[in-house]
Amino acid sequence: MPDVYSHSVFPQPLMPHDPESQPTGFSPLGIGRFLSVSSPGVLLDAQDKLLLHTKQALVSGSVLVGVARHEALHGFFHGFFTANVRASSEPMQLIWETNFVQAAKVYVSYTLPANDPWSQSATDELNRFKGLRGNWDAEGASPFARTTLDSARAVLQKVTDLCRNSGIQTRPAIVPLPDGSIRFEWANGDKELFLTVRKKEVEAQRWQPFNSVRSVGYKSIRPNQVDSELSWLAG
Amino acid sequence: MQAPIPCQLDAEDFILRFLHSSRVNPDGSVNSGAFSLRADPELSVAIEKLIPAESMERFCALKIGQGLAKVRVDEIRALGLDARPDKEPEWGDFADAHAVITGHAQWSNNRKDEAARALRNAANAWGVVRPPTK
Repeated sequence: MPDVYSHSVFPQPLMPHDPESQPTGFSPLGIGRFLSVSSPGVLLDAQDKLLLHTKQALVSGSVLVGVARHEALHGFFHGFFTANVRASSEPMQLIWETNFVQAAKVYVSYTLPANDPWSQSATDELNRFKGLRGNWDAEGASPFARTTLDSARAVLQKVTDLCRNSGIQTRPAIVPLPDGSIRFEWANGDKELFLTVRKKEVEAQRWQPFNSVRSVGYKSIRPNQVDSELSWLAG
Repeated sequence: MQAPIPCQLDAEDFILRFLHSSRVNPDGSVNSGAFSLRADPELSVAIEKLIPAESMERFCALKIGQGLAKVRVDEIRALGLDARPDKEPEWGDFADAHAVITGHAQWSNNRKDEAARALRNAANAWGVVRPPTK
């Protein structure tokens, strides 16, 4: 069982509607770079994940506003965020400021993953890509944008979760492509999945049977939407 | 003086593709990055029959540290692509051995990746000719 910490988030002033710069903060106990990509009011029953010193933590939250307002705004309360914060055994106090949330109760559970050599080497591999300059393959390949690397890390976290929670025995190859995208190339039995990450998009392609040439599915999704693709591969 | 007759690529000919270290998985197999068609309308390759075995070391020195994979021309053409000779002066003595895979410029990413994957599978079926050294 993970350690679970519960904290109240203080009422916050209403902010101008500006999803791009939604202010979000940590107390000094867990301060660090925090990038919110969520829409205003994402906390209702959210099961969100953040990176805690590159380790996974699970954050769930409930918005403490009127029920009617809950229901009325339900469609807004979905999203995700990622963060890098300093690892600490102390409870963290999370503060959200949005247009809608005036008070929230947040539960933070620290789930420190078992040692997974592949996960660590994959993280190292992505970090290595950050240092590759143009023409890194001697054929004019593009360097990797920060947004691409951030998205790839988000996908890697989903992949790591699947590896931990399913019986899947294989691991994906992480392939840098010459156009600046990063591919997770993953075969399992008679299936294969490509997740090609570029900026904030992921192109998902499925093959089954393995020796087929034409893909049986192709779609463009966000990094936080790869679960169904991964479930298909593991199923 | 008559111009040299350009090399014809037959269905049974092999083409070689340089392999950056990132194109080979930890288990030694080639990944789809080796044949990615996303970046350029032409993919640089070499014509195996124009590289004498005794010159292979010198040829590999064109891209120090990189390895080599091979696929057959008919495997390329079966995907709707083509391979044609394309002299590359930067390759020096091996200029005439340079070729390009073409035909994908207007393709969707989906189709480009299908082809890259199929070429990866073909290369793995033949086995890596020479693994990267760094």
